[in-house]
Amino acid sequence: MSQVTTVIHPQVITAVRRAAVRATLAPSIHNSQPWRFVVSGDALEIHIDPSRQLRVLDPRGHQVALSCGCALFSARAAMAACGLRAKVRRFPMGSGSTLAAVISVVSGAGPDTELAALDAVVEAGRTIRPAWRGEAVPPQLVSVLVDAASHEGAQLTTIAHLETRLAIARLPLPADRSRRTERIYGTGPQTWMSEELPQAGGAPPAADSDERTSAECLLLLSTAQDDPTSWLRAGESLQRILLEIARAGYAASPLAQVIELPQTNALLCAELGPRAYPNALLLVGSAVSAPQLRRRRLVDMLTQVG
Amino acid sequence: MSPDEFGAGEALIPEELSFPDGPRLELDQLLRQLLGHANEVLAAQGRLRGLLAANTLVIGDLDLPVVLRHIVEAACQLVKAQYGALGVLDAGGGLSQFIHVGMDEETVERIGALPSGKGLVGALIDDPRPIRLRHLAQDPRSVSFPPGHPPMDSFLGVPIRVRQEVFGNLYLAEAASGEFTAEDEELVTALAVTAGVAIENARLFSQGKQRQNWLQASTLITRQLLSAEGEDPLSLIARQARQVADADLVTVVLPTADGERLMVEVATGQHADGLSGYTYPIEHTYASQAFATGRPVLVADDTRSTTFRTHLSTVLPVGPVMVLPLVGTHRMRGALVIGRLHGRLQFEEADLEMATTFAGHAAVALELADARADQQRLLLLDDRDRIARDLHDHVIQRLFAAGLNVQSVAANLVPDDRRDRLERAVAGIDETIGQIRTTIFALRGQVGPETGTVRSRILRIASDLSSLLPFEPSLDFQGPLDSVIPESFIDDLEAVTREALTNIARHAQASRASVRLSADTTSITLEVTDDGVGLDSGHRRSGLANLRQRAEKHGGTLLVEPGAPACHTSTGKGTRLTWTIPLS
Repeated sequence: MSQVTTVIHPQVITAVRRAAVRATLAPSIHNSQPWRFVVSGDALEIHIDPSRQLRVLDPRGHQVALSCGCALFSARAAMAACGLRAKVRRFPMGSGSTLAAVISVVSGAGPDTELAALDAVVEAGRTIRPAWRGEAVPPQLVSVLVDAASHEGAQLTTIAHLETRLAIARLPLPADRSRRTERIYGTGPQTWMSEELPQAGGAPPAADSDERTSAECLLLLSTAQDDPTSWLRAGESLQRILLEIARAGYAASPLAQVIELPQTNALLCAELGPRAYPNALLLVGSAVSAPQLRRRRLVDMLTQVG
Repeated sequence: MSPDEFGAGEALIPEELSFPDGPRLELDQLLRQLLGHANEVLAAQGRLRGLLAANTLVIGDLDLPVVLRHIVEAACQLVKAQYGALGVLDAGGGLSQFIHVGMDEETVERIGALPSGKGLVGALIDDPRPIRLRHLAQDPRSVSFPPGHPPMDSFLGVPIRVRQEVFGNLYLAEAASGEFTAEDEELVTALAVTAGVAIENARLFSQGKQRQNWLQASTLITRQLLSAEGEDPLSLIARQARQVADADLVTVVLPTADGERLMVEVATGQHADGLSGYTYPIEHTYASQAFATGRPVLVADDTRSTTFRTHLSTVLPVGPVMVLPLVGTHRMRGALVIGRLHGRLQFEEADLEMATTFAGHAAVALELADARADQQRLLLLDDRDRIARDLHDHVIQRLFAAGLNVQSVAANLVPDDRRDRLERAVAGIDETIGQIRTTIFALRGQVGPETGTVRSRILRIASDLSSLLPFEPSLDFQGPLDSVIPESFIDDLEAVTREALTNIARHAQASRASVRLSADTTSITLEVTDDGVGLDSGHRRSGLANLRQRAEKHGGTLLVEPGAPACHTSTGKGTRLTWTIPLS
């Protein structure tokens, strides 16, 4: 088969660039935004920015891969919203490389309409620790979320058992404490820590565990494997779930520290059983709207080649 | 207001005044003349009152479009004209606005396009002096009316000047009496003077209001920049600029890292979605022109520009554009590009001036925000440094003192279980101190990339440990240290120096110590000497084993022997530690 070189349609170039810009809005741990984007013709490369990895909280680079996965999903949704079908290659240079994914446009195929609908809520899905209103999450939403996770090859489990919930709800307390030391040991400027700042409107801090065990729903996202590619997939799954939550008008708060601390991670593994690895723990509920997180400058994250 | 109020007074002469006697005829005539004059005076007074009323109407508002409409209406009523219009001149000698009264919407729609400035309309533009015609069609300057245009015969045209500059022209047609009189011309000329003042007032007022809007926008941005959350300040700048300047598309462009291209950082307005992240070469742009001069650029019509197009036109056909540089203290931070759709009103010099002030505010605010981020970073580093210092100056000292106390108690006990336990406690404290030290180095190490030379690293260890010693160790470096000592040896070198000096502090009871590091192409030698009690005490063995191991790892040797620093008068025996590793 001979490859015919075609001139890339300007609309495709605009769509790919737009996908990159939309992807920069993805959530990341402590709003660290550990990514770089390279727009090259009809392809978008997502690179991990290792200098923005939180070394103490995230020594494995798990959260970095997860964050890049979130960005990857946003980019896919943005492409779909522009009527394009995208092909994704994850870690094409191997999982040790900083090139997390390459998204390229597949010509002649229709977009995934399910994804296209989620692009509209990308801006709303930027989570910051919400103030819970104490309304229960409808079971229909939970089943939508479980489906969303499985579409992206991950598994979402509701942690319903009261005692487990109570135990996990108490977990962030020690985790939070050690996370605070991130201020001292971690890398990067303090502005990343905006999640830590007390919010106007009196949002309860995470340590206040009694309240959240009642109405909010605790969901655990897991994958069958524990390697960078699985983490990236888990990130895509996570963003799909977060966008579905935002579309339904609910809010989510990821409890990343529970995943990353060895002792709490071990507890979650025990909860899941063999051959399942915890990737994200989400607290989902209804909340009053919280201020948006700031995005880094595009000039620092985005490069256009050619 | 009824047109009668402007009109001349009704004739007040009784129909028939008759006097029977002949001689009275003269009187009769005189009276008739008197009445006639009185009548004229009354008529003139009526018209003057009409002019006054018209003036009041014209200056009664401050909103420019309303003022312009009132001028036309007042003029029509003043001279009883059926049709009236006001043409506002643009910079190019055409008409930018044409405000008309007297025609219904249907007729206006039938005629279609507004006059562009040909014929009599244009004659007044070229030569701004009043034109009064009995029959419009008979004038050589007139052009035929477009189809659907109502017939017009009598015509009066008067220019309106604002501060000596012709602002526009007042056109009146179809006088109720069939003809405009010289008096009509005078009245309308007088009204035009008032109109000029009213227009100037309205302009000043709207400029004042606009200035206030820009200022409010600046304040809003400053406030937003002080908060760490919420809308991105750059996007707020763009949004506010778009709102205040009544623009259709606004972007903030920033230079990329290589400084050769510009990237649209934020875009707001029509089709803005496709513009964010758009990158283009900085060369041949209005922005580069603005960067080079530090002055804003005003583009009358981007579609007609022959030099270069703005990036806005890639998504939207913009006409009037303002490019405002965001000037930082050291460099150009970027530019604010404000565009209106093609065909819309141009930006005026006053707009440019106000927007420039706004951009100046925005740039200062951005600078402040960035400086604040830098400061936070410094605070963080400061914090680390302070913690490291606290750990070093206080925690280690106290642990060390506690350790020494316990050790001295243990030394006085007979060797038994309790003594062993105390010694284990001392070892535990030692280990803790070691961990804290590691932490200190980790904390300080993150302040910046490791740029220290071998020399500076050894110096730092010496100064770090000097608080444990009752004296400053003397240091001596010889040979091309940085060029011959491989990176892989430096850690060991540091560890050995630290261990040796700590040993001296703990056990030697020395009053002086020296560190001498020398290197040549064949070997590195570290020599640490003190004038303390010597090697009698058994406590130092374990530390020495560790040092030996570190030497042997690199195929080197450790030699420990008695010996005081040269030229020394101390009574102590002293110790000399020589740690040598060969360089292959």
